[in-house]
Amino acid sequence: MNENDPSATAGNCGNNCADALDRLWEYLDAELGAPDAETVRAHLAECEGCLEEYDVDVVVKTIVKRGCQEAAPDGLRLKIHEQLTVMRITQD
Amino acid sequence: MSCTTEAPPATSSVTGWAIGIPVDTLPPQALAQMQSSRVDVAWTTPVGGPQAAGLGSTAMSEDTNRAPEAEDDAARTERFEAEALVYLDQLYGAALRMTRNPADAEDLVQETFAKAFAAFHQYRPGTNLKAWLYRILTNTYINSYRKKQREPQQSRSEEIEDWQLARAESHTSRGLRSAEAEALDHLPDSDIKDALQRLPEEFRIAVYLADVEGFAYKEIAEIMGTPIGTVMSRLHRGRAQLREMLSDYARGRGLVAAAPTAPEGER
Repeated sequence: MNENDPSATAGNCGNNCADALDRLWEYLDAELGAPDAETVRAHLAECEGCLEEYDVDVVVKTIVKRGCQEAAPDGLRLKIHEQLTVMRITQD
Repeated sequence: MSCTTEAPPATSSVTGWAIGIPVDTLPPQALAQMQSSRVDVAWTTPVGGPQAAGLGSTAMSEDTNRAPEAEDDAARTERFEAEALVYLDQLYGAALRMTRNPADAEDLVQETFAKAFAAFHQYRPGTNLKAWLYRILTNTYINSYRKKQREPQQSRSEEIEDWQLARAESHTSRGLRSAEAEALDHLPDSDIKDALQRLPEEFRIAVYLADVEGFAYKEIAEIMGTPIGTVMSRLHRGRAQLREMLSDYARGRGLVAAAPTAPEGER
């Protein structure tokens, strides 16, 4: 922690940080329309603090996806197939 | 016969699906399962504004977008297995995050496919099959499995947000932030899963649908049967809590220096 680092005022560049932080997740999720996305993008380009918030949010989103990859147990596909077959026959 | 797939509707809207389940056509086993949890899998989320027109036109063209009349049972089963079963791993992953144990997750997925299959003749080709399956999964979970499970964290969901959110607005030094991003990236998957398990259910599902499945807010709203504003709020709060927990794990693992001050944001 370097107290003299100018970016220690991260997110306090005085340039609508609150607005940008509010919309960071929407921006990250590609939910913002063009003008709003451009506003956030421009802000991130000039504000270290918000950019770093953004970086952390990106990492969180990425590791959640990475950590949740699952393969269904081998037997499950077969069980479902059998169940559907039974259902189909019963429907006839 | 041919497995005609009609062109998708002009609008990509996934709203307006009404999926009645012909319960009387199900085998006793599935019937028993379902009676314990009558699930309404119709898409009920009101979508305002311009969507209204889309909804209307979707409804009008509904019949022409139904599965082909001539399709026999064998062909329909084949089509279902070809189109729906490709989502098995993903649905199982979601079920695992919802139920938090493999046995319940398997049952939930199996029930989901049974319901989807029973209603498949009403599914309109060209609409969002994945979202439709997730809707059935989520509904089935909420209406039956959740009742069986005790969720001690749930009641806390409304309380945690303020100081958690404050953190997102509190700004520490650049050095710490970079270290935080770096440290989080090194967390083992088991920590991620563990943190997700601890999130209140409605936050957990929203975050899962957005981050793992990449659904748009509008789709999540339809899957969860809530307005988009609620989805955004759940995502916002869920992610803030998740980040806080993950940072704690990272500190616990020595991946990042202990926070310089007591829990931030108690302001």
